[in-house]
Amino acid sequence: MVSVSLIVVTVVFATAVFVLALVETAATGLTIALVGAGMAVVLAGIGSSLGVGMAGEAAAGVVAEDPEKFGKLLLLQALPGTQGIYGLLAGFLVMLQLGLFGDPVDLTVAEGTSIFLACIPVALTCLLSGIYQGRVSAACIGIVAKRPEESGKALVLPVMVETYAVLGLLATMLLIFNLV
Amino acid sequence: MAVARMKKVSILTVSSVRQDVLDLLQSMASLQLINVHEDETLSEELLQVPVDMDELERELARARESLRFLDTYHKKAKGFLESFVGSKVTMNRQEFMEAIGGFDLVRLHASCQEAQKQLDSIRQERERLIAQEELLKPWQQLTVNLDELRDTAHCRLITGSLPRRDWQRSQDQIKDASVHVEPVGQDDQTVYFLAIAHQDDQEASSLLAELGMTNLPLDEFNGPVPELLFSTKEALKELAADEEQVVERVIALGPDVTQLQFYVDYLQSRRQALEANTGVGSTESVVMIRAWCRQDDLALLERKLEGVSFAVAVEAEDPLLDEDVPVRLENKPLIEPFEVVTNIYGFPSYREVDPTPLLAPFFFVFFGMALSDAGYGLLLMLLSALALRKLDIPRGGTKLIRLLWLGGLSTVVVGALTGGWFGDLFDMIPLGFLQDMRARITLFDPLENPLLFLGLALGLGVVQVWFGTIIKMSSTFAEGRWLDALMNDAAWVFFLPALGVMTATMNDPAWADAGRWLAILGAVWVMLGAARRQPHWLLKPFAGVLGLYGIVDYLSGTLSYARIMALGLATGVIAMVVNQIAALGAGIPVVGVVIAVVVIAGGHLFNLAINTLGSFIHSGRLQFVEFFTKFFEGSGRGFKPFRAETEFVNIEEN
Repeated sequence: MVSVSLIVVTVVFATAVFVLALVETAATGLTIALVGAGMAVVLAGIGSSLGVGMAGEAAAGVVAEDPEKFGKLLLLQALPGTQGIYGLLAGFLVMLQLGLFGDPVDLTVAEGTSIFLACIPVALTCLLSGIYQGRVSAACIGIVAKRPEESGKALVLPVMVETYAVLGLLATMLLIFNLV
Repeated sequence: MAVARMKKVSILTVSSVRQDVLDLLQSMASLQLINVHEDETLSEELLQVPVDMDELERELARARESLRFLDTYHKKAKGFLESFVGSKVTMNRQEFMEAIGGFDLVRLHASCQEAQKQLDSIRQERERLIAQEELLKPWQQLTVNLDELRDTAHCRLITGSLPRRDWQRSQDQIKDASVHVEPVGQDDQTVYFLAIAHQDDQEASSLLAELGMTNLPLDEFNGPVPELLFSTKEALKELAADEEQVVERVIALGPDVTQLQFYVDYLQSRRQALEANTGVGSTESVVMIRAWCRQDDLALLERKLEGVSFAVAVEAEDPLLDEDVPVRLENKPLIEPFEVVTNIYGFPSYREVDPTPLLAPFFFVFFGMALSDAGYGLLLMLLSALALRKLDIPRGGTKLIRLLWLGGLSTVVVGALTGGWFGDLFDMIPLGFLQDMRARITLFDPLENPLLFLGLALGLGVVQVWFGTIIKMSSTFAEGRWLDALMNDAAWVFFLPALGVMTATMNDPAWADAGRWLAILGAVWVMLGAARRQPHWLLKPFAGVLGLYGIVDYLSGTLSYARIMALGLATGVIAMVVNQIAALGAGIPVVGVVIAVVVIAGGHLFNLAINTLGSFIHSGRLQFVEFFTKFFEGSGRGFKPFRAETEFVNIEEN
């Protein structure tokens, strides 16, 4: 069910861009670029919501047994939350570079589309890594429950997944910096 | 500065002072006991020492029971920070013994049990009264004395209820039967009624049963219902007052709780001291205790043991080559906090190098670059300094906080050089000198020059990866496998910078050839080294080419350092977002300033928290995955000294 909704969201964004690109009268490059910014925020946010949600469910079970572990579990739950922030960050960078907080830049449709495409790396890597990081976090919550002295290791394993979100963010940032 | 040298000590003494010696070792807290019976060369001749712990176990159970009972009334809220570092009181052994002196567990336990018993009986009584109240409530209109509602010689009185929907339906049938039914009260679902029938008339009662009546006998009550209800309420009030009294008495025991906690710790440490006997071997009159002891502690141990009895002999021997020696790290105060990073991964084995001082400078710089905001750095330093001061933690437990302080320091430096002070907050404050000051110490702005920042991150990555191969080479040399070191490890030590030189000189005709030949020489060296390890002659060329493929490892390892740049920019941009939102809020008249301040305070604290976590773990990951894999195995076992493991007190031994 989750995957279906993800596909729907992706398709909605993709069609939005294509429609905008085709009906040139309705769209300027700016609107297409902003659809990209929105996509980065939304997809990354979905990834984090799912990830943090999964980890939270697992954590709640442990807290019910042992409330003292709340602090450590909160950290583990927060780990898949960074993807959403990366998405917001990419979206904000687009807005910043396009001068939305002052004088908006004029973009051709081609330029706008390339900014839209530049947002794809962060959006998709964050979407998927958020989900999978959530699963690893949920599994690592078991480590905190059973071997609390090994909590440090439990924090490291989920971060291995996050690497790819960081790399996606990196690619998007470099693209945006070089496009505008 | 490395892994502490250990000695295996055997302490021989007479049975009579066995426990005294164990107590001493426990209070020294610097030896790890070895179970004598697990040593096959000794076990057959040595016997177990029988220990009777029943009495102690019983007392501990009593103390824990009391504590559990009292805890429900004296729950102290635990802070967020305390749930990480614990909230123990620190005191020395003398203070500790004074604190539990004169503590009367029997008396406290008795009063706890008594209070518990009273509370239990109050609870039972309350449940009974509430049930009675529930039962009587529907009959409120029945003001007649219930004594009078008893069967007579010829009449039978039935009290009962019917579901409302059945009530209407049943009216006709009741009318035809020889029974009189009088509704007395009703609620949403049910009608309560009084029925009168002839004593011998079975038909009437079977009719009522058929209609689905629930029989509600009121035989146990005497007096009118309203009065009964009133007295029930009164009794409940009295119970509440009684309960309050008992609870007050329990709360008055408050001062004893701390002492009880200490006493639990005391009993636990006693039990651990007795349990230590399981590893002791004995003959008829002599016992043998074995332990790992730091070489540096040996003299102290001998001196202290002399104080216990003159009949103690200590024999220290070096660990055997293949023995699994517990590992204790020892580093200078400045490096010590970084042991946290090493310990997340594990311990080096006894004969390995301690990677802590090797990773410390890299971790320090990476953390600063990933957080990269001078404002956040200052805040982090301030918060960790406060935590050190406010929280009563023994020195060993403060490593993480001291590490965060150092990380804050590094962040201030990097942040100042890259012009990040709570993002671009200074641009929004109309104080010119702040911007001047910032501009004067800023080297470059990563937002305007992201490639320079990326280059820096990757450059540091190259340095660390290369450094890792050098360590690998030197430790292979140190093990005496000089051919391996020369052919396999040194090849990479040479090849990596050679590749760098080749790339750098590619466009310079004067040096391009030299650079290329340098790289080719390195490649050949690497291939020879790889081929050397393939025993079959025919396969050697392939092994060589495959060895060259290792470059992919180094490449992906180095690229991994790009994350530092991404994290560094992330902190700055999120800070900017916070400032931007605050600026939007500030535009609102009257409340604008308040909103701006709240957004700035909350937003930056959130950003600090989430990015400190990220910077810490990602910097750590670079050590574990990119650096350690080059030279470090980390299969060691941590040194766990025999000491009083307590829950509430840190007993500092002098």
